[in-house]
Amino acid sequence: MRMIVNFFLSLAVLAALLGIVYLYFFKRKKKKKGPMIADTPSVVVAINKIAELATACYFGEKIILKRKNFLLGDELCIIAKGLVRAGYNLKELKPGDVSIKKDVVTVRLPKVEILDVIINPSDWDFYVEDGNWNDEIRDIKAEAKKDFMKDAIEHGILEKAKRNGERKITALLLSLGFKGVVFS
Amino acid sequence: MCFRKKNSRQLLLTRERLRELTSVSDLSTTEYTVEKIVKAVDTASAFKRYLAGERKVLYSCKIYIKAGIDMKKYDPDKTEIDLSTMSISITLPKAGIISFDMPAEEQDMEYTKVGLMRRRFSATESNELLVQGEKSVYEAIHEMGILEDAERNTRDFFSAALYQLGYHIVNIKFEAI
Repeated sequence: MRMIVNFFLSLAVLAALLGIVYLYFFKRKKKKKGPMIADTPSVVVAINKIAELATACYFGEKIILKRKNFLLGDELCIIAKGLVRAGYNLKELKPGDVSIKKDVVTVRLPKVEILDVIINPSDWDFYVEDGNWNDEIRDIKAEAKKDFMKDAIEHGILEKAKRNGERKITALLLSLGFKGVVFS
Repeated sequence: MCFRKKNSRQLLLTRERLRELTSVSDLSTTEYTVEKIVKAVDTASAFKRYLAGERKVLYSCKIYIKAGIDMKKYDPDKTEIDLSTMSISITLPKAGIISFDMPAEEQDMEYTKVGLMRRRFSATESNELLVQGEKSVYEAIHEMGILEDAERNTRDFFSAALYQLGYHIVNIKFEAI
């Protein structure tokens, strides 16, 4: 009787062990699904000294819907997130653009401009891809970038960047010992 | 080929477009241009690869990373001015990453090879590969030394500006944290 109990007990332990081993390998295999990339280095090819003061930022999200090949019903639906930054390129400031009279500093700032329109790969959410859109995607992404920039300008990013920039530069110059700041 | 997320069509139709315009105060002083080769690994079994052919794609990408300081964190109370000697000492916020841009127009497919019995890479799959490339560069940023360069360039920028504003002795420090 005792031998039979021991036999079934051993069997149960063995089954549990096999189960754990199976689950471990099964889970490891599951993780490998989907396309993967090889480990390649990130190479710095240029280092630039810049002087950009971003003073306004626009964040937008839009749905892009495209259709082609009506017989097959090819359809693409993407949700894209875009970031637009605007401000001043202070590299354009020339020595004559800043003048001081007693305690008052006069600054001629360059024009505000769009500094970046950023849509990284992780900002694209491919919701539906019926058919293959790999050949068109580059143009679709370029179009979206232009749209985000247009939206940001329409929503007054440049005006906000100018207003905010003058306020920030005034605050900074006052903290540096000046009594007044004039923008020309 | 269809790549559709289940049960989320309803959500898409009711989703509102989001827009937000905010004030920032980021001074970027350094820009790194990084090149990355995104090489897809064929995860199919050796048997499948032998029978149906391989599935390969190679992208070369450029990434622009800007670093500098967030002037919103600048504390004017930490600025010390001595007008008798025309000296100034300012403490600036620690340098950080301001922007990370991996533009689509600089993601070039350099090579692709797909076996006759295998399906082409879809736009969704290509983007998944590029997301992994983006993540890999982002994780490597701190090893590139961009923040050290940003502090050096920020120091140069403020020194030049303060000398131009009439100060003779300029001391620039960065916050410890």
